[in-house]
Amino acid sequence: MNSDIIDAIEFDEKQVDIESIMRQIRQYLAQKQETQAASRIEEPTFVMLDREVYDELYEANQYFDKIRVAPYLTPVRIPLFGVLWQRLRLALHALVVFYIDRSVDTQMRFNTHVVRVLNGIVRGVDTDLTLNRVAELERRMEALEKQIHALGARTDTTAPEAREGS
Amino acid sequence: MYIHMMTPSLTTGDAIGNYMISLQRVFVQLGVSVHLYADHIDPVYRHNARPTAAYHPTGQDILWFHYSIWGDNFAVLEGSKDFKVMDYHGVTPPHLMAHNPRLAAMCDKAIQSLPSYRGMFDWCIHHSDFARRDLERAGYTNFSKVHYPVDTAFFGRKEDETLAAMTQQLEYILFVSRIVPQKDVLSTLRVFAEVQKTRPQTCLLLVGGTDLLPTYVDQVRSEIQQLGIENRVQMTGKVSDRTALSALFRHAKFLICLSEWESFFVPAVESMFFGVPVIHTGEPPVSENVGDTGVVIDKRDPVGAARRINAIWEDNEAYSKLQDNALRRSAQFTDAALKEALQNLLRDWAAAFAARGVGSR
Repeated sequence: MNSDIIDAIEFDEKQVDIESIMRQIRQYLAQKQETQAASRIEEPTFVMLDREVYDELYEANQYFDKIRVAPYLTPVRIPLFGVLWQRLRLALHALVVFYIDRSVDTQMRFNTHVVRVLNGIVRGVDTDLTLNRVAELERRMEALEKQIHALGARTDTTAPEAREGS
Repeated sequence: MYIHMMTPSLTTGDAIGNYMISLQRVFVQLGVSVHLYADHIDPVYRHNARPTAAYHPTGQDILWFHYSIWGDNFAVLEGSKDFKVMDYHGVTPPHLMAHNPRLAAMCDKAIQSLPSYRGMFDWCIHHSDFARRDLERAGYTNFSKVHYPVDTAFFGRKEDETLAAMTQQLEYILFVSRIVPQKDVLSTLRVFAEVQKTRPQTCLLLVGGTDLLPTYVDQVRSEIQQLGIENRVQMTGKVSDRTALSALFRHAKFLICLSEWESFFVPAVESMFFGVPVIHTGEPPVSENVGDTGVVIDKRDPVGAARRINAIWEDNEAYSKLQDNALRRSAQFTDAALKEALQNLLRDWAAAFAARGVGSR
């Protein structure tokens, strides 16, 4: 409880100084709001990755498993022979896709792991408090340095007197 | 299944921001994970929320979109395959935002766009029947009503003792809102001036930010002088500390709200939580939310309004009844009530999900 304010309040129930209490309420609330605002300003800058990183991560999550390909055959317009030729082409393309898919499966597994790791890292960065802690430690160190300087200055001023006394 | 909850701006002391945090808390109790997103995130919420760009629609989740003002995040609606829910908070009429043309334009765009999004959303949530009428006019069909909760886990548990020592010595009417024309502070002063003629010891505490529109604040100060009530009215500025707000609510005689327009007016619910009756104009949605816990006045007739307030003030029985009603009604706005409403909502959606073939994970 703020003792200065409590001491200043008129507790005589018969004669309540309304204006004074209202002023004190305003001052107290203003003081409280200022203290809160000041403590917020001292907080380190908002730690967040660039917006582009989230955009890229979003895209990575969309496409990491969409790497399979289908056979792509241009149409052949030659009657009879064209059909046979197209079947042969399809079989050859399917053979190539079969071997590519084996590689694609491995690649998809790898991509899945990478994207999961990236998601985890970004989530970790979002919630990481290390920088807040470093900022807090820096503030404390600065305060300690000031105290040491103040103590040093006090020692310097008292030392000649001590010497004179001895 | 995840719920991705999105708003243009997630800030402290804002009704929608507080509501989102409450929803997240209650959904966690129901075993549902909620991710929060916003275009602008107040540093206080940096660990709770992510930027809008981090949202990844999967077609298996729920996108819970808070609709109150136009924002950049409207762009994600087009591309999202998720089950889309609009949480409609009402949009402030642009003429009440005339002091800020940018915000007025964004409100206007949100109002104009409302009908064009009716095919986009699978479900709508509203918080009052007054807001529901906006949605019906715009052609929306699937609705659920969910009350805003008072954060009972935090609000009112303890009060600022220093402040309480001061407030409990006063007999005061409380106003809790930003000092802007929408709140019609001038009418509040005129009604109070008449109350004060009969009850000279009564005070008015205006609790709310004064930085948004300094010209209006000057107008308020000038009206206080003109009415000769400067020694009974105090503007405290914004108070975001809940222990301080608890001390202000708990010892107030009445809360007053004579606004030109409100989408819900959360302080009325908070006031009921403390058993403090609400003076209002009888206009929705405040009348709907306050129900039988309020004192209805005509703000255009300050003398008659003051007579009505003073009559309740002096009638201990009538005042106690209002207090009891307020405390009873406040149960509709607790976490428990919200949890029940959300459980019903999830049941409704399960059917809609099944129709869409959405799986769970």
